[in-house]
Amino acid sequence: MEIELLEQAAIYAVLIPGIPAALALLLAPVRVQPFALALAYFIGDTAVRGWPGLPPADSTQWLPWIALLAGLLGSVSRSDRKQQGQPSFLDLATLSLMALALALILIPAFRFAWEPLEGAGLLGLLLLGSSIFWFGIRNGKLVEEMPAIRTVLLLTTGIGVSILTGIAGSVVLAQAVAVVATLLAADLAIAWVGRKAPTTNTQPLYAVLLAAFFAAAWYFAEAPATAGLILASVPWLAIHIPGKFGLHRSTKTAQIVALVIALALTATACYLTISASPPLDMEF
Amino acid sequence: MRIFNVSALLALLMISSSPILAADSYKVDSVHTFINFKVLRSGFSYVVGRFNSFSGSATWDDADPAGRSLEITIDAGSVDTGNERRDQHLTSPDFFNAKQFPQIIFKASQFKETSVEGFDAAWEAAGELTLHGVTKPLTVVLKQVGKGEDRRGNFNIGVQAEFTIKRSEFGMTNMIPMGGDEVTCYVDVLVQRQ
Repeated sequence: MEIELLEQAAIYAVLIPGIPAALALLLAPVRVQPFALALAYFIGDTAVRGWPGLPPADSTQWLPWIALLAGLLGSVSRSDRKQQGQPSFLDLATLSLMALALALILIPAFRFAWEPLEGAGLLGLLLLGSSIFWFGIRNGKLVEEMPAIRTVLLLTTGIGVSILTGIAGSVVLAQAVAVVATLLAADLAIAWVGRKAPTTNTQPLYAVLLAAFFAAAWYFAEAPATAGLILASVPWLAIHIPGKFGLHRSTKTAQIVALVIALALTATACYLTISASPPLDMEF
Repeated sequence: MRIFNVSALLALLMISSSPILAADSYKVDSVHTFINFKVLRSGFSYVVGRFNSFSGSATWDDADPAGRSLEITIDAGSVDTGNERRDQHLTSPDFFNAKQFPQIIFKASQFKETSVEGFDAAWEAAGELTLHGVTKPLTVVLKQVGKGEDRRGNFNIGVQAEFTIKRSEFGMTNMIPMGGDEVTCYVDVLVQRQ
């Protein structure tokens, strides 16, 4: 019976969003692809958790709607280039969407658990962590030379958040994060087969969803905050550490070092979550 | 004229307030109240659990059914099946989603006399159950276990009920059929007159 459930989970989290994602990446014009991928996310999330409703009864089900906004943002943004040292429109719009997503999914925390000042402080810290994550995937010489590394690091983080959420105690939220990982994997696979770079301007979609899902795992499934901080810093550390040691001179070496760092940090975050969870001496 | 008006008003107040005065207020004794449940696991065996944190109140008028009510509020996060890992999973978004929907509330306001063999008195208590953010009508049969003054002079009424709900009807659809859909609840409530 458990195997049947795992098969169902794989179908809902991988196949159902994976097929429309692949179609979007193969057939849709480049400019439309971020929104098309957001639609694929919406379909996958709905398959896993049911129709979200508007407004949703479960605050985490604001995420399919937020995903559509993030996809739209990616599709209408003409370029993600920016002047040195200045945040671009895409940066500001993405950070605003992150703030909106965090505020919406944490409505029950404000209603039942947090004092207003305490809530504002915690929301600020979450947004700070999300900003580190966002600027980590935005900047760096390695990203300029090899844009695919950004998608690889996002995929590693996405798999990490999914595993961590499952370990923390919510299989359903873990499946919803796995939908994001499926989109990233489809993006990478189609880019690799077609020998081209992964889609551009999809970063707001992925970054907003992953940041919000970690916040959901932390608050609703009690995943440890330290694990989230480690995962949020994966792109920044993986992209910048190779440069600090002069490894960016060889893009291939820098990529390998970045991937090793990302995997090590993700494994550490999962280990911390296992340590913080009650012992696994039962199955439901 | 003014004296007549005041007298009439006082008389009216006395008449209209008499049923309210006749209904006694009760508080749920959380030490001697037990809210237990069992649910089929993987088709092999039952998981049995309880809620450790709840509160409640009641009003009871022996003569007037309209003067009867019962409200119990349960802390969904207090579910206890004797295994920390399972309890963490049960409070997570996969099941009770206790941080999203922290309270389970049963409110009954209609009590109809009925009879159950082996019990001196019983009532069909009709009301609403709010679980997982969804409110549905629910009627349970309350069987009176005992009624009267205890050794300390407190007036108690003890009732018990057994009923079954389908968790899917309350939006708790995850992991069915691995975790059974039907949940049987066994409730023993002691209320004490205030």
